[in-house]
Amino acid sequence: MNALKIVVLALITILIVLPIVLLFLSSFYANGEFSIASYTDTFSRRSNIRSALNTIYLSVLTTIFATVIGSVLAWIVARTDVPGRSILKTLLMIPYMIPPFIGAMGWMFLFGRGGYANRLSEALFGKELFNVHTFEGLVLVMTMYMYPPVFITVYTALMNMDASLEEAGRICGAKLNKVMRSISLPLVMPSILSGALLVFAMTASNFGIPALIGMPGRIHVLTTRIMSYMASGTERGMNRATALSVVLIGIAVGGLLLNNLVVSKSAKFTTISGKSSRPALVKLGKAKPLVTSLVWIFVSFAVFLPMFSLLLTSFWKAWGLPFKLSSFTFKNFYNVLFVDENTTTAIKNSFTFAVISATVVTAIGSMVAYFSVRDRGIVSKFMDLVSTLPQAIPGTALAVAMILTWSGKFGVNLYNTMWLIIIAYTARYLFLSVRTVSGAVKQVHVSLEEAGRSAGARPLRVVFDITLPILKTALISSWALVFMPTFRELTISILLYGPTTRTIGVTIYELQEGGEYQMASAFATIVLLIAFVLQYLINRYLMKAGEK
Amino acid sequence: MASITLTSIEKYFGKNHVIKNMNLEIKDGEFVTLLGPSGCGKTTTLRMIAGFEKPSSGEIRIGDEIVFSNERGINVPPEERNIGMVFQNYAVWPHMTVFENVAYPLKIRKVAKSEIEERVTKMLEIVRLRGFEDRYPYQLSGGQQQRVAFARALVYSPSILLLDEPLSNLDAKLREEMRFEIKDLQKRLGITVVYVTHDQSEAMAMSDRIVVLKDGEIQQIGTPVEIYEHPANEFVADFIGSANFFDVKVEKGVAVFPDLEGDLRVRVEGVDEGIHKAIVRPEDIILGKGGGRGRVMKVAFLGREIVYSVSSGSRVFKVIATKSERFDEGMEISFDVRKLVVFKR
Repeated sequence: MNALKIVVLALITILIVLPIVLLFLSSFYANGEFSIASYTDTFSRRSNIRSALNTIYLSVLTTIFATVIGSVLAWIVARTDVPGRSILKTLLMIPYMIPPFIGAMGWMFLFGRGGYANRLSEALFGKELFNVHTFEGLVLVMTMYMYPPVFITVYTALMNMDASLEEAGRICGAKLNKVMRSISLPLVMPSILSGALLVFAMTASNFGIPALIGMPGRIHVLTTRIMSYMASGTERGMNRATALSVVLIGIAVGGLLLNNLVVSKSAKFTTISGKSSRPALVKLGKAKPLVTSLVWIFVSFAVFLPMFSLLLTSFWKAWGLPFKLSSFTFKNFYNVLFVDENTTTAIKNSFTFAVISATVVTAIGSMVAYFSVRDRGIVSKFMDLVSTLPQAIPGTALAVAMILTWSGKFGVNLYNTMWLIIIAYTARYLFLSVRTVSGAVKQVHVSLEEAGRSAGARPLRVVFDITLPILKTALISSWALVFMPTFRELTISILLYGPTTRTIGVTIYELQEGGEYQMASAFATIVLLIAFVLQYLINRYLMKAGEK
Repeated sequence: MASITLTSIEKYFGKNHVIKNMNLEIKDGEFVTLLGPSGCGKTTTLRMIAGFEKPSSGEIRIGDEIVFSNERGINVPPEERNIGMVFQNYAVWPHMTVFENVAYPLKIRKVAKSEIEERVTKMLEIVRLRGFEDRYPYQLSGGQQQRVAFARALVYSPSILLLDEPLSNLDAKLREEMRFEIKDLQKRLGITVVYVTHDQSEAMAMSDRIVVLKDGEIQQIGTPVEIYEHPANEFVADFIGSANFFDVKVEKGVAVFPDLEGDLRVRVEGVDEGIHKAIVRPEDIILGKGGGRGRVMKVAFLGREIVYSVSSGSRVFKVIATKSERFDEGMEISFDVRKLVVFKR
């Protein structure tokens, strides 16, 4: 057991600690000595300062809009008598399940050059409705992707809130509106704040949306700037990308640290909970038709329209053809799946990478989880902490760290191989597995294992005969949880792919950039379909497993 | 202070008929307990009085005011009923200090600041929480949180006080203490109290009258003594205290026990001749004398008293005796029945 622990420790140190430490060190290192030259050089360029500021502006604005929209929607769906509350809850979460770069494509087809909404407006009023490739457009698309985490956090807080806290307010003489303001709102405030800070960090780390929406309008943020520097391939570009990565990590981690502070501070707000009745719903009364239509207009705008425009484009023979039946075809799907060499290779690649990463992650992750729950030693604690670290680190910065570490500088050159991508995926998504499995290990009482020992089995035998079979459900869901995001990953693979290791994400991105909108959207539609089917199967499996 | 009147109250949750034609009058200043097993409708009744649940039909009055009437379409919201309520989990607001919690109802009523200060302080004095004004609920023990809840419910001098199992989250010792404190508080303030519990000893200790509920129907209303001594039916007899059930045969004002060995006769009055069901409280069976014959099966020494399990004929029953006389396991003994309640078939 101890030998195994040391192996796992060594593995995650090499996988995670080493690249991140190297990233920091090399950003403070020039000409063989400690120096901040990388930073002074990087920020001597206006455009780099601009992109750092853009990241902050974008994150702040998105946070404000997403928080307001998410919280208001959460309150409406959780606590008013608006019709269709459960279906609204599901619909409002959909944007979150769609990869951001695919969602961005939907918005491009609406409000980009020649987008459907713009074409319609040109036909009607003689001018474009809205250009999405502007800073405002970037904020809009980002907000539409980022309101769901706030929505679900606040929604859950509102639903779980002890109804008697509000009833006590009513009995003391306060009207429902007053109770909402003086009791409910302060009680969910920590959730709102926590959701907001999460959105801040996620926005700063996001690559897909700024790449598709911002870059065509020459608007750069840190993530896209780093990608441009990496693409330049020069030593200087590499140094600048490294410095910018450290700055990006600082912004994202800052948001998450604040979040932890808020969460730990709000822990004292939990109270003794008795039998609980359902909280009273606010009757909207005369405002009901208005609120209902506003919510449904929002859902159509945020959820249906971009998906519809994506789907529509995937059936188009060529972008810009007149709107009639003969302009549509199924050929794009056929081409993506069976003809086009780029897309078929990408499917094979992504599938292989995702299967290998999911397997490796689950193997390492479950060991880390097991040690961190069962053995409270400092080594296990360290492993647990390290494995959750990449959750806070933007994928772009992690990819830069991986290139620094594995491109031959230290004797191992994995550049342009699939292993570089797989290592990066493994480091990035290890936390998912650790979280899932450690939750399950906590449920397995240690006495089950002790019973195995007293029956005569050696520790390792007990793990294989007793622990693993009991943890089967958790291991499978950990595998699936890693498979899904890696299958359609863009942020990391766009920096790490080589001529033979193009992934689905990279291929869709390049098709879209190259103006092959029909192919890109057909491919994206297929990816979404696979993702939804997989999600459905997993939910069903988990539900069945839960019944046992 | 006010009386409470429930007239022909019906309550459905969907198809579930949870309160069936309830009629209840609670007098001004009375301490009434709604007692019953879980799911009997006691909390629903309390929440209907509070205004959190709407009866399907019927009428509720508090004092002279109709707060709910199906026919007249009246349903006064909870905040306008001027009721104090203590919730099972206390519902002390975690984001407010003790002072802010207790001051809240007064602030809602736009009471002047200096008066709020004065009344809250006085209230905290009464519940013995002076000096805790600036603490937050997470810094208080369960018992202290509960006293905050009481202070908050009483600070605005409501006309009635509703208590929803307020003692169920406390440990056993504190629970007994609080029984007396609550009773004492009620007496001092002279307030009408409706108390919900499933704990019969709590109900016995505190109430002026007890309302025993089962499946949404009132089984019996009476003082603790009445309910204990003269239970209206088998359910009440079984639920309140413990009871031995026997079949008895009544002839000429005397009951005999066909299932028991020996010649045991007990005088009864006002009972028809024939076979009836009867209950005997364990403390109403006397061991060591009388016409009954049996054998001691088990002895449990509980300190203040001894619980015997005695077999006789085809039956085994429970006897509670003082420790002045002791009988050993396996001993053959005689026994007598001091008192029994006969139910008509």
